[in-house]
Amino acid sequence: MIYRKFKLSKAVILRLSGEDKRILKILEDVVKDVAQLYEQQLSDGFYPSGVSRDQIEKSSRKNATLLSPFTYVSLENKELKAVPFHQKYASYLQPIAQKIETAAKISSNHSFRNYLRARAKSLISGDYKTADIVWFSVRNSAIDFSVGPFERYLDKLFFRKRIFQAHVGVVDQELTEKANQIKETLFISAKISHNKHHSTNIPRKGVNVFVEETPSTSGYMADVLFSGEHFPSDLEIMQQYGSKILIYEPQLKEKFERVHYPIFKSIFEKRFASKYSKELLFKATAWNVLLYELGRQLHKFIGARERLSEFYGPIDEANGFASGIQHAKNLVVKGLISQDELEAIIIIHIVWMFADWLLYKNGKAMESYVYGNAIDLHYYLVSGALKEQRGISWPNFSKIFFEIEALAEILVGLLEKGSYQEAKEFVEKNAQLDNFERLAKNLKNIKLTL
Amino acid sequence: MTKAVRAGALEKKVYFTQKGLEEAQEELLFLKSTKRAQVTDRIQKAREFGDISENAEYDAALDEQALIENRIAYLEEVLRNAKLITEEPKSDFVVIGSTVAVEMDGEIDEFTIVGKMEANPAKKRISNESPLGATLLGARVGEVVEVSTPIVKYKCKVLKIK
Repeated sequence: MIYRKFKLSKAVILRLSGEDKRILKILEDVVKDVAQLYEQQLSDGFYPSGVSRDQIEKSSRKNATLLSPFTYVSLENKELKAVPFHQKYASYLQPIAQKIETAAKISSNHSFRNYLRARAKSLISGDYKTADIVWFSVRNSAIDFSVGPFERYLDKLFFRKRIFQAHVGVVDQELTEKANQIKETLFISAKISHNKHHSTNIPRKGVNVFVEETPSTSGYMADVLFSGEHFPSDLEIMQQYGSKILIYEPQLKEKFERVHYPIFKSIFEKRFASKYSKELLFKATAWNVLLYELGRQLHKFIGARERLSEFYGPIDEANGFASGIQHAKNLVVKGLISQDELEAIIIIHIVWMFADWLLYKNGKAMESYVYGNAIDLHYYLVSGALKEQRGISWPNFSKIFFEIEALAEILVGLLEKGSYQEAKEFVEKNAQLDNFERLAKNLKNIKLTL
Repeated sequence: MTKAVRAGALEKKVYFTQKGLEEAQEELLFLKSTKRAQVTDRIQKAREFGDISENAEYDAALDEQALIENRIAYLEEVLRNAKLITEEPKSDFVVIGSTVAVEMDGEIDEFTIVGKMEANPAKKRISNESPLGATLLGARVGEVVEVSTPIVKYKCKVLKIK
């Protein structure tokens, strides 16, 4: 499915002004249009068929734009050519940009109007970076919106080319406030500390967290039902202009209902599972996404992706969960989340690993997710923190937490200054997918439909 | 020296600074004298829109009314048990109102210990009822205390008390 529509809650609808509602209607229309563009891009692919990775790499030495994230590679007269997305898909993008312009004209919020204009312009000019930067400076808008080629997961050759997606969201003020409290609490201690590696890696302009109700989503984020995303992916822009963590509440709910909760019911021993209410687990799912994104944010190191190459993905993924949950102890001792909530967060972390495994098997999750999760799972199983006995029996939470702390330290060390060889050895030793194969026997009855 | 304190035993008294107490009293007064009437009026107006079974405005107003009444009941309960912090915080050991610098797992943190109503960890104010707040009460400079919950264990050294 490439376009999703969700109902807004009563409370959110009532908070919207007449102007907001008019803008929302236009932007929903834009999101729908992007679904067609996504479909076209899926059918085109990023590279011409029959051309190998080596050929593209060789040609890119003469023409670097072939490897640009924002170009389609075509084969013309036996020569590889780079066609910028804004040219190749101009027939889709021009009407979309016009609609965004119309929405901008209605908006009386200066920063949001500027942003909409920058976003519209980016679709025509291909300057997506400027639009992202302006996006981070939007203030006091009930509506959020994004459209562009953002995610690189479908480029199986080079993991560079981006695919289009769009969303329109309305900020859930209550949950956004709570999410920002969590973020601030974690960042305050990170900023004060002197000898921890994360201190210097918080963007100067800050990390903005938003929990949003999304009336519509389309493209890749809708296809794989993302629960949240972190923008931008370019680390230098992030350091200079800040970043944005978005949690898509309706998609999170949908995924929880369709994937996470059924997995929870299947993999845990019944008596144990009965201790945790569905409501608590859903809340924990939201905080788990947030902690994961914050965990990754706190340990972004310039050059890590290039230094660790193909092992960066699994290590970054494993660290997102490990560091995120490790930092959560600050929240527990300071009274921001309860003991029960931390237990539920750990349970959902385990569930999440199996969800990614199932999604991966169905072509809806990245290999690096699964390898990253396999590292975490291996640590819990080897230490005896997780035991198998007709499903996962009572997890030993304090042992899991102990392992998480030890693991987070290793992972952060690798991200900060580990060599390629060290990362390779670590991933090869610990990312054991056979643990999933064995434990996934309990998931046979789950029908995975996104 | 390590002092192990198990978190969880909540005190009956709710501690307030003078400012915090006034804010809670003002909020209660505002809810009872203004907000209650406003929401009643909203419900009345929403009823006039017609069929209340399909009336989003009516439902939302009822939800808001429930939230307000819950908050009023909560504030009344809290204010019944309010205890004003009148003494200046001591600098030789941690009391409610102390600003404390601590070292936890190699990280340095600083916060003020306040009553639960004024707590906001994001603004460096932690509740005296939180595991960390409860453990630190009574600790002296240089002392190492252990904050312990069933999952999390933290050693925490008091560096400074202000």
